[in-house]
Amino acid sequence: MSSDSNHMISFEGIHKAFGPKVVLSGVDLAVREGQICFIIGKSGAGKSVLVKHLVGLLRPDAGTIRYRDEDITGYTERQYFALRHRCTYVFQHSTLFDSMTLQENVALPLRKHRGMSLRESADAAMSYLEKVQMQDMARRRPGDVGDGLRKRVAIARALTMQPEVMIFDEPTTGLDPISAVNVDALIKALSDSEGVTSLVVSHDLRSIFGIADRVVMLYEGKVLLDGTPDDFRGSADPIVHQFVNGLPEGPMAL
Amino acid sequence: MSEPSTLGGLARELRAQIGDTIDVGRQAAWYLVRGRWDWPAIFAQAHEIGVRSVFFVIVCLGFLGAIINLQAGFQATRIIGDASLIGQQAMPLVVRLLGPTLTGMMVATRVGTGIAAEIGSMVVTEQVDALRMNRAPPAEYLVKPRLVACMVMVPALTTIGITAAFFAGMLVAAVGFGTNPGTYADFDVVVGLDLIEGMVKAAAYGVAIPIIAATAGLRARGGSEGVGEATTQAVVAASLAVIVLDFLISGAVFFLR
Amino acid sequence: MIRLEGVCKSFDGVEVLRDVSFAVPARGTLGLVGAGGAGKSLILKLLCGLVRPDRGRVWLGETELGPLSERELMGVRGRIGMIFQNYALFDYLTVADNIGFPLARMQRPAAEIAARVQTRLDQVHLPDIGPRYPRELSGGMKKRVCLARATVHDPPIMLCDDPTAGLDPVTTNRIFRLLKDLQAQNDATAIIVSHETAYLRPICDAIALLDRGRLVFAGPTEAALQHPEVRAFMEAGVRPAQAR
Repeated sequence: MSSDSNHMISFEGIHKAFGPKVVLSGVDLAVREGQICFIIGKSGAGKSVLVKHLVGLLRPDAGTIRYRDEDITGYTERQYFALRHRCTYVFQHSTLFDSMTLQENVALPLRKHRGMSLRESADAAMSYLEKVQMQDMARRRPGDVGDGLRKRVAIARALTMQPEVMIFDEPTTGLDPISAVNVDALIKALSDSEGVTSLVVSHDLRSIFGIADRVVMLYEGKVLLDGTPDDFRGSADPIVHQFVNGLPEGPMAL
Repeated sequence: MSEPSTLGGLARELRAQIGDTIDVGRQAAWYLVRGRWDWPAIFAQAHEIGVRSVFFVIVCLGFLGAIINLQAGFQATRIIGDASLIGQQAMPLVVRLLGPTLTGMMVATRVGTGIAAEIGSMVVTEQVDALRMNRAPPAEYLVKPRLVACMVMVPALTTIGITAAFFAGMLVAAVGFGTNPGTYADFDVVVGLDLIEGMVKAAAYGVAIPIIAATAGLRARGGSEGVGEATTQAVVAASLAVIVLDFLISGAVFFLR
Repeated sequence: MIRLEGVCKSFDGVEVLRDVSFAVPARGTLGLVGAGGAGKSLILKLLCGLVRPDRGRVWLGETELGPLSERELMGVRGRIGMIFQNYALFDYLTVADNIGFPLARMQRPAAEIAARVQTRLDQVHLPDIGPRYPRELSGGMKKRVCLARATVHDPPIMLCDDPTAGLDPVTTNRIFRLLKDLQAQNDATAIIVSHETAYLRPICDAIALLDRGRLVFAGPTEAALQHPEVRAFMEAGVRPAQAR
């Protein structure tokens, strides 16, 4: 273990192909603790594929993945189970149970993984719902609230694991602009107040320029640009320029 | 998604399901008479429903024939010491009751779930809405080919199943109890009415199963859990329909005799 | 061309649309915006008669949909090109058969269908994917195939339900441009449901904002941007965060 780097997560030379289709061909990326790092790129650029490697949902064809400087590439599925509590994954589509109230949804992992009693878990669930400003709707069911609010509850549920890293897969896709801004604000607040390291897969320019500390753009299996939102905005690279302005014409492949 | 937690809610849900099934049945009947005949789709369904069920039906009904003759043989040798007539005891039962109903049950599970899952997932991904947008009414485009295929294939599968039961039973009778195959195969005991009863049942199942399963699929709501629910509903309702139809047709034939 | 009058709709006792009225003139483009669950998709489904209103009336051109039977509606729907939120491509048909489906159901000759399918494939810049299946395509490609299918029969009305959901900014812009091109080619009237307010503004001549089933505002884009609530929505981020 090297002690001079304090990278929370690092990907080194990740290669991944699905059959003949090469998705990642040598991606290097290291994220510091507490950063909000956006992984961006056009649809199908391999953004989700990359972050799924961190929690062992996918295994690389070649390359090394480190978590707090520990090589986790060869972890068994059982070892990954433990890691997935420290790095939680907030899926694009909320995976809340429709038959339970929002509070019960949040309380479930507290009972299952943190051994709380029914009463304790209910109280604790309320405190997590407060963190996402959803305490007033605790007794509603997922079907009774909007997409933006469901996303908040999914984040509260992920927080119950007291994660060090949170991975957000397209958190604002399909949300109206106001809900999207609110979810962005929540991700930012979690980073500020809880010190959570966030890995956000997105192509929502509004979020990128709103809350990112760092932006990594994937293109054709490699990192095309790695920098701050300002670097990204001011980049001379024609592909980055096309992406950041959403121009229909340009060098980016159809 | 609201769950029918009360008895009243359950009754309402059931009434709605039956109402929808009748509605789908009526529309399918209309298109059966007036609609287009999409032969490639009908053959594809006939293959899926019929041909791919043949092995399953032969194995199950074959074992059934063997078991029944084994049981009949034991009883016969114990009570009258003569097993030469076991074929004549067992076969009418197989032809008018067990053959069609067991085949119906198997189609209800294997084919019913397939139909409900396929149509249900088309509903939740808006493909059914897309069909309705393009002059392809689901009752014509989705239900009719499955209905036609089942109407032909369930009686065919029943015939194959009964044949399998017959020969498996003959083998058991000959090997286990020394029954002469010629005596076993004395068809006089199977009267025309038994055959008609069996085929009427098979045809009725062939109509009921696809319509019930398709309705369950068309009622699917929400995401993948909605499709799962529709599939379960299809099996339960289709199996229930097979039993109820069995009872009604048996009753009707009893009064005709 | 499109008109709603006092439309109300409830599901399981929950009011989803409350007294909604608006109209879109021929060749106009209306951007329909609002939070998730506000009833935007439902309005599109009411317009093609896939759902019937509890109260109120819906007109497409001179035709009122209310009194029509499902079979009569089939004819009316031939005038509509609908782009569904979830693609709704038939996954058991090839891309070419998907795009040709509306024409095949109208029993047009095979040669004509093949020619028109190819024209559309060229227009959406996917000339070679006819024999492939939807599952082999990326999200952006599927959206373009949806566009091709929805317009293959030259419909005078286009209804687009979130045509760029989940797509990157470049693809989003390309889809909107294609949509406008195809609309212009057919002199079509369009309603576009979308959350991409920044892209929507320049291509719509009217904006309607829905909030939990109630129409907040519907009118020309210029006037809409003067309306405080519409403005806040279209320029989200300006208004202080509030739970929604």
